Parts: sequence; structure tokens; C-alpha cells
Amino acid sequence: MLIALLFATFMIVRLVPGDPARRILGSEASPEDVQALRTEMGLDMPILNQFASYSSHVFRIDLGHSFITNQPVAQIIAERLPRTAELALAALLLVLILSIPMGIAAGVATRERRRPRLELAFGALTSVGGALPEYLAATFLAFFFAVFLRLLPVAGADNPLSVVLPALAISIRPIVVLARIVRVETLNVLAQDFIRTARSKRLPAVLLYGRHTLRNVITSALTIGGLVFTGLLGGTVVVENVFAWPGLGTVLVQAVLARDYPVIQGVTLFLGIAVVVVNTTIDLLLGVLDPRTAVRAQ
Amino acid sequence: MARAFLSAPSGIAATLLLLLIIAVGVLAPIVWGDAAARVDLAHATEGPSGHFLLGTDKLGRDILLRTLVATQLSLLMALASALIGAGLGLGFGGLVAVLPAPARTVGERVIEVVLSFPPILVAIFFTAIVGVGIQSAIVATGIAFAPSFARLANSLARSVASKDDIAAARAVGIGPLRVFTRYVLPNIAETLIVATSAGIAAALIAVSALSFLGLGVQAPQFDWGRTLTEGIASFYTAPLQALAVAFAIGAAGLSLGFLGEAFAHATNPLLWGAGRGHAIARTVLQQSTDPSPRNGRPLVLSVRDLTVTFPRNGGRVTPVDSISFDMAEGEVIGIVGESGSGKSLTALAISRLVPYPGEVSAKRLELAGRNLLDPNETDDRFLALNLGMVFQDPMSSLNPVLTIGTQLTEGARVHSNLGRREAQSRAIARLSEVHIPNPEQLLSAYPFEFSGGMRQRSMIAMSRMNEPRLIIADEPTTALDVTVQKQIIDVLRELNRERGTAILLISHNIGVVAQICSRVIVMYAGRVIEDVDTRSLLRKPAHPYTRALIAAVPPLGADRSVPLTTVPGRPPDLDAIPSGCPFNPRCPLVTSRCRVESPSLVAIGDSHSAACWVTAPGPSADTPSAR
Repeated sequence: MLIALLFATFMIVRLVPGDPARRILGSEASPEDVQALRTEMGLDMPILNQFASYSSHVFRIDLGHSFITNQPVAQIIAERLPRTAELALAALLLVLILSIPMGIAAGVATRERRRPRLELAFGALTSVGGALPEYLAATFLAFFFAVFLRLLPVAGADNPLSVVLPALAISIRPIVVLARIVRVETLNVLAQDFIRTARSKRLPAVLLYGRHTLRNVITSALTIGGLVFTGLLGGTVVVENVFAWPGLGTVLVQAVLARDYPVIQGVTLFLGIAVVVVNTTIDLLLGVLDPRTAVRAQ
Repeated sequence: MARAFLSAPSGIAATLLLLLIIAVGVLAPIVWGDAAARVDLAHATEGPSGHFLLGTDKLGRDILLRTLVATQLSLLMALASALIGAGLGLGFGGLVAVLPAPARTVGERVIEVVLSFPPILVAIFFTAIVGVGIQSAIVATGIAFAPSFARLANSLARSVASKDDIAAARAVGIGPLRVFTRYVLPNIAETLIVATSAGIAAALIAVSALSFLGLGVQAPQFDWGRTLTEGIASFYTAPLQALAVAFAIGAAGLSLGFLGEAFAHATNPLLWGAGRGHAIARTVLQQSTDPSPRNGRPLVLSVRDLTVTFPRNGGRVTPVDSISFDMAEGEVIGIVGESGSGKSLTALAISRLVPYPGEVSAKRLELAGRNLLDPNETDDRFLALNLGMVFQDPMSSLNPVLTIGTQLTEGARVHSNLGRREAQSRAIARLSEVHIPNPEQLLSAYPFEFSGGMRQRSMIAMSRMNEPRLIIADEPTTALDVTVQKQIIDVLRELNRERGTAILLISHNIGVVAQICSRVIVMYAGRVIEDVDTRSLLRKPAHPYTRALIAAVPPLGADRSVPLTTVPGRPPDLDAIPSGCPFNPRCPLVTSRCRVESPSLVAIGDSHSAACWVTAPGPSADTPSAR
């Protein structure tokens, strides 16, 4: 998996149409300069050697230097990472504390086709929310809270409250998507025989829903909704650019625009690893929550 | 099916909105193309006015016109990238599905892995390679959505590829590519077209995101994403531009997405029936009028005219129709009947677990002398302490993610106010009663680690945790092997003899019931048709249905894989219960009277009554029911 990521980021430069060095330097550069850059980038070497050299550098956390600022890429990532992590974690927290209770409550309230009007309202609301991409949510939120109410800062990360709007913008879609999944899973779980057994023990609602329903719901919702969590990373990259948030997303977009390949390689590699880590965490969590998968894994 | 959703009001609204957007996309650049590009610095950054309906941007260009004109490029880009994504995904995912097993597994794994990366990151990754611009944004977005199309195409193709004709095609040596184009593709094309139309919504949003980030459309060309960026730049001074474009993207995305979803819904019958299940039903309160006769042993259960109804097709059906019986403390009674006879619903009605929206009514429904129809008189604690339930399939009836210990102890901890330790030692005692070896160690085990028989023993132990007077066991042996069935029956019998627990045993198998019960109630179409002590049941069953049930009992040790001999004919549908005796269409002894008049339960001996005009002709039709 990691090797595939390594290879993919390595190939960014190799796949650029034409001569990467020429593209970087522009058409006015002298052939000597282009040749010098080719040598510096190792483009003269056989491709396998290039990959080996790239990999060994990556493993020594040497991601090269930015073409533009000449700053080490590892240092850029280290500087920007805390801001991105802050945003992504705030969004994750919002998603977890809002979507699961919302989905379960909606599921319990609309089980067995009770309250059809509530079900309809929930469906309509989550359809709209689910179709609202992060950057549109960001635009509307920024308008309402920052421009219209002038309550919250609209750009930058200087104020502790700055994180509120971007985090909300990132999390709205995942919240409703996950809440929908959780509601359907809740309906499925509530229809299971073991819930009837639990009811026959006359358990209070706290145990019935909090113990017998919740764990089964989370297990299946995580299995289906795992993509929501990696999606938060994509959302973060986009929303950082709306709010001029000094994280990895803004750096990445600037680097793509400036054809700053070492930065692009470093940041995409890092984000790719983050996606893998999130997925692995979900798998591990599933193992803890569901004893059956733990046994299968052994 | 498409007509079904197009006729719904929301479907019409979304369709009209989409048609409007498409019309704007086609016409706007022709009509307003030049006006939208006209720079007019004299009118820069103006608010809405009669001339500029939504005001102007910082170069004095009309915001409304720019938003309208940008529609075309945005829609075309979205369409192009959705087609690229669908094409790539279909090619890869579909082909993978028809490959031989090892290559298929690898291919599917690749799809899953790529799919775990957010599409927007994949798109940015590819723009980094191909550079910024319209074409690259389209290609990058297309590639980013290819994995999800690939997965869809793959799962569709696999479901098709397992069909018989395709298996046959492969067996005669037709290669994967040919199987794919000749057999798989035609079968999945329709669904894929639907998915592609839904994918346009996602593509629109993604491709606009790329332009918004500055990686797509470059000035002086403009699409919605580009216009949104320009709007954000002057957000504080002129928020209208960003808002107008944001609304345009949102409306287009929503109407496209809604149509796609509605299409998917209309073409996938699996999505129609979400939400089914069990829960406590509304109970119709009806105070008992006549006092219960308590001759001999005190009654643990007294049922008079218990009726359960469900709404169906505008009317109501009555799966349990005025059944009556009494049960003394420590008695073991069986209720038998085919599926659909109402026996299980009777059990659920007594235990107040009838699923919504069923309604329960009765002249009297008493557990240990207290009215079950009044939740104030019989609260949850009373029920928990006096009534235990054992359900059919112990695999599905025990919670898979909770330990046996938790599931056994929780009821006692809540309702008998036991601490953790006390509840655990009680659970160990109960598990020993049902002959589970080493119960201490099993408390931390999960249901899936047990055999079927062990699970059912645990279930019985669980129902005994609060030492109830009555246990209702609903088909407790049905899902088990014959040898295990006998063990479970022995456990129940032992509980009854040694602890004096009354047991109401529900089963379709009259043989199982006769082994343990002192009395048997036979139900048909929601009514009691015979109520008889076990000895009379075996020696001289009265009702033709009862006789047929006895004839259908498999001999002990019969192979369970062989279909059981059954009573000829089928039980009636609740919508169409025959007039007269409900059994008359299947009855070998049917007379003309049976087709017109419904027989009542009449006594034909000591503790034996039946409802049959032929074998139990009573003196009058209004003889009191049950005993």
C-alpha cells in the first residue's frame, strides 16, 4: 500500500507531458539551465534508479526542497500539518457527536414506518445537506456568520474562533451522509430478533438503545460510512482555500499552480498516508467493536 | 418505473428545475455571451439595480449574466467528466468481474483501495500531472470518479456473471472479454446509464471545485467555479456574486442529484422497503368485566377473547381472533398450529410485544391476577419479574456483540436490583440449571462461540434470571437438530418439575408439544379449534385439523432435510378467511353447514372441547369457550 503511494507520487514528475525540467523553467530558459535541472532532478538516470533514489530519500524524511522558496518540503509539511490536523479533527469531532445521535434518534422515531412525516422531513433535509459540497457550505456559512452577522472571522487562522466556520463547512455533508446511514442501520438493527429479546427483558430505553442498538449500529455504519472519514481530508483541502487557512491544502493548491513538484509530491504522499492511517484505524476499531470480526481476523 | 417518480411532485419540481438549467446553459452564451464579458469600470462593484439585477463585480461585469453564461461550460465539463469516469470505471470494473478468481480478487482490491481516497484529492493529484486548464480538469475529475463507477460496474457485473446462461457460456470456453461484451454489458447497461446521470451531479460539484481552486478554467474563460473564486475574493464588499454562483451550483447539483437518486430508487426494488420490524404495539385498553373463576390452583394466566388486529390495505385483518384459555400455576400448556395460525402473535400479545401497528384487545388478559392491558397495573418491572420469554432461533435472538454474561445479567440488575457480582453468580446458577458445563467461563463468551443447543440453553437460563412464574417459549426447538430438540424439551420439563415454573410452549410440531404439555390448544386461522388434555389428544383427537397435524408429525429421528409431510392445502390468507368454519376448504369431513356457519368451541368431554360441526356437534352455538 505504502509502496504504491510512493510509486504514485514518484510518477507525478515522470508522467508530466514533455520535459518536466522544461515545464518548470518555462520556454525562455536556456538549454543549459534545463539540462542542469534535469541532472539535479535525476531525470537522466534509468527510471528504476530514480525510484530507488526517491524512495531512499523519502525514508530518510528528505522530501527535497521547494522550487519556489527553496524551503525543505518536510519542514513545510511540519509547519502546516498542525493547522490542517486541527481543522480535520474539529470536523471529525463535529461529525461524530452530531451524526450518530441524530441518526439513531431518527431511526428510533421512524421505526416500522412510524411518523412518516418526520421521515420525509429527515430525508429532504439530508438530501439537501448531502448535495451541498464543502466549498458551497463554506460560502453560505461565511456569508451568514461573517458577512451578515459579523460574528466570526471569515479568513485566516489568527483567532481561536477561526476554526469554527471551516470545521462546520467541512463537516455538514459528512454529518448528514453519516446520519442517513446511521438511521437506516438503526432501522435494520431494531428489526432484529435480538432487539425483541431485549424488549422481552423490559430493559429501560438507555440500555435498549445505548447498549443493544448502538454497538451494532456503529459497527455497520463504520463499515459502510468509512469513506466519510477519509472524505474529511478531501474536504479540508478544499475548505482551507476558501478560508485562506494556512494548512496543507492551501500549500498543495499553490504548489500545483506553481508546478512546484517536490512540494506536490511531499504533500500528496503525506495526505495519502493519512488516508491509509484513517482506513486502518477504522478497521482496527471495527475489530474492537465487533467480536466476530476479531475472530475472523485471527 | 420512471413514470412513478416523475409523477411525484418533488420529481416534477426537480425535472422542471433541471430543464430550466439546461435551457439556460444552451441559450445564455448566445444571448448574453458578449454582455457578460463586457468590462465597465464606471460601474464596478455596484449593488443590485434595475440595470444590473444582482449588481456588478469589480470589473463592472453583470453578475447575473456571468452566472447564467457560466452554466454552459460548467454543465459541459460535468457531462464530459462523468462520461470519462463512467467509461473508465465500466471498462475496468466490468472486466475485472469476468476475470478468473485470483485476478478478480486483486482487481477488486485495487478498486477498493483507490476508492478510499477522496475524489477531490485524486483530481488534484492528476491536475498536478496534466497541468491546469479545462481539459485537464475534465480528465482529472473523470479519473477521480472512475473508481466508484468501477465498483458499481463490478458488483453489477458480478451479480449478472453468476447467472446460468453466463456460467454456461464460460463453461464452453468463451473468453472473458467476449463474455463481458456479449452477456454482461447488455444486462447492466441500464443501471449504468442511470448511475452516470447521477454521477453528473457529483462531477459538476467536483469540476467546479477544481475551477474554484484555480486548477480548472482559467481567465478570461469562466465557469461557475471560477466565478465563485472571483466572488470570494471580494466577499466582504460584494458578497452577492459568490452567493449567486453558490446558489446556481447548489441548485444544479441538487436537481441532478435528486433525479439520479430517484432514478436509482425507481430501478432498484431493494430500496423500496426500508424499515420493517418489531416493537411494542399500541394496546387497546378494555377493562375486564367478569371476575376470573379460580377453582383449584390459582391462575397464572387468564385470557378471554384476546384479539390482535393489524391494518392492511385500508381495512384490518385479525390474525388472532377472540381466543380464550386459562393456565394454572405450574401448568405446561402447548399452543400448536401451522405458521400463520396466530400462535406466535398470541404469545407476543400476552407479553405485550406485538409489533407496531398491531392492536391488542381482550375482555380479560391477566398475568398472576393483574391486568396486562393496563400498563399501570403491570409495569415493566412486574412483567420482567413474572414473565420470561424464550424465542425461536437463538442465533438471531441473542445480541451478537454482547457477551452471554451481559445479556444474562442485565435484566436482573435492572429489575431485581442486583449488583454485578450477585447478578453474575445468579447467572452461573441459572446456567448450571440448564446443564451448561463451566458456566463461570462462559459468561465472557459471545453467542457466536456457542453451539445452537448451548445458545438455546443460555436463552432459557436468561428467561429464568428473575425467576418468573411463567415462561413463554415460542418455537424454542424449531431451529435445532432433533437430538438437541429433545435435550431442550428435557430442560424445560425439568424446570417445570423442579422450580414449578408454568410454561406456555408455542410450536408448529404437535409431537414436541405432546411430549411435555399436560394440555394442548390447537389454533387455526387465529381461532382456537380444539382445547384438549394430552391424553385425549393422542387417543381421540376431535377436530379434523388436529388429526391432520398428528398425522404430519415426523417420526422421531427423521431426517430434517427431508420435507415434512404437511396437512394438505394451505392455511387461509388473513385477507380471505373462508366463511363458516375456516378449515372447511381443506377438511375431508366437510358438510354444507361448515361452509356457512362458524362452529364454536363446545365441550365434548372432561377438559376437552372442539369447534367442529361434524365431530363435536354441540347443543347450541353460544357455549362458553375454553373449558
